[in-house]
Amino acid sequence: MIPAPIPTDDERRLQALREMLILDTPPEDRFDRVVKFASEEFDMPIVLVSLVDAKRQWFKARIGLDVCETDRESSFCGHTIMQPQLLIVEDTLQDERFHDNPLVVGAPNIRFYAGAPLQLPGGEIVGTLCLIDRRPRTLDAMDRAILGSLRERVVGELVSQDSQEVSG
Amino acid sequence: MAVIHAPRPLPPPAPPVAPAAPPIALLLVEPHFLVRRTVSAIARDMRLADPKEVTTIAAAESLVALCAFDALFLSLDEEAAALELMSHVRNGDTKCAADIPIAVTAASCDTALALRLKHLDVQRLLLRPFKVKGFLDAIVALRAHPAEIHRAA
Repeated sequence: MIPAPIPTDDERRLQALREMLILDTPPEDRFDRVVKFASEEFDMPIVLVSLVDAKRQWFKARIGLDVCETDRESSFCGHTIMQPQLLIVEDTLQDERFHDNPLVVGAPNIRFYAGAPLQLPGGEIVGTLCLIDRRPRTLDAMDRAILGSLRERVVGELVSQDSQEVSG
Repeated sequence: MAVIHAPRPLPPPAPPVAPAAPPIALLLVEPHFLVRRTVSAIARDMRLADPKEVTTIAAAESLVALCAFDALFLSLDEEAAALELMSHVRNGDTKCAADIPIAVTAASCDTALALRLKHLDVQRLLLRPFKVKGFLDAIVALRAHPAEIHRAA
């Protein structure tokens, strides 16, 4: 396994994440409905809005997963936040970064992962909207466009909350 | 033993569709927020359509009285009103050409409704629950009715 790398601007990224005051808050319908929609649209058993904190990834919204956080080092989303583009791993067993990852060899037995980075207007990538399956999958161009559009919806909600906090 | 390959960088995403024709002016009546916004955003990004989004048939009636659209995509949640709107279009009572392509979404469809839709020359029917991808495929199909597309001058 290749542990999730740490971006050079991680301090700034973490500061932006924490200023949103969203970590460890209760579930909210505006995020839950996006993950439910994505799960149905893509027939994915697991869909998450994952926020990558200093030592963990914490799930603001989740479907198909019981835990509310996992460690950052083994997280797929920790890799996704390194780039503004989608990260798609069609078969984790064929990828040297993930083939022996504990989330692959054990529960939830991830075989397919597609993560869309949640990039704030200031450039900080605070987390992902990600799709996970227990079998290898592919996403075609239209699927990727749909995932990208749903990602924008999540970012819009994050920014909207941030603005409310500032104005409030 | 599994063969492990080094991670390959993904190729840059190719444009999903490279339509030669310009985007069509589409009137989209869809009450479900996420469906409507997702379909509109992607149709716009892919240059399939330039959608005008409304949530009610009453709002759509006002728009077709003022603007010409190349195609309509209507929810039949307000079935009677939607059928009346389509009749107005087919009778030439709106700014749209009478033979523009029309697609509809519905929760169900019995024989009577199917016959009515056929009579109104509806090109596509999407039954709920549908996927955004199916919606976009239907928009692509609407674009493939060149005889019915009348671009506003």
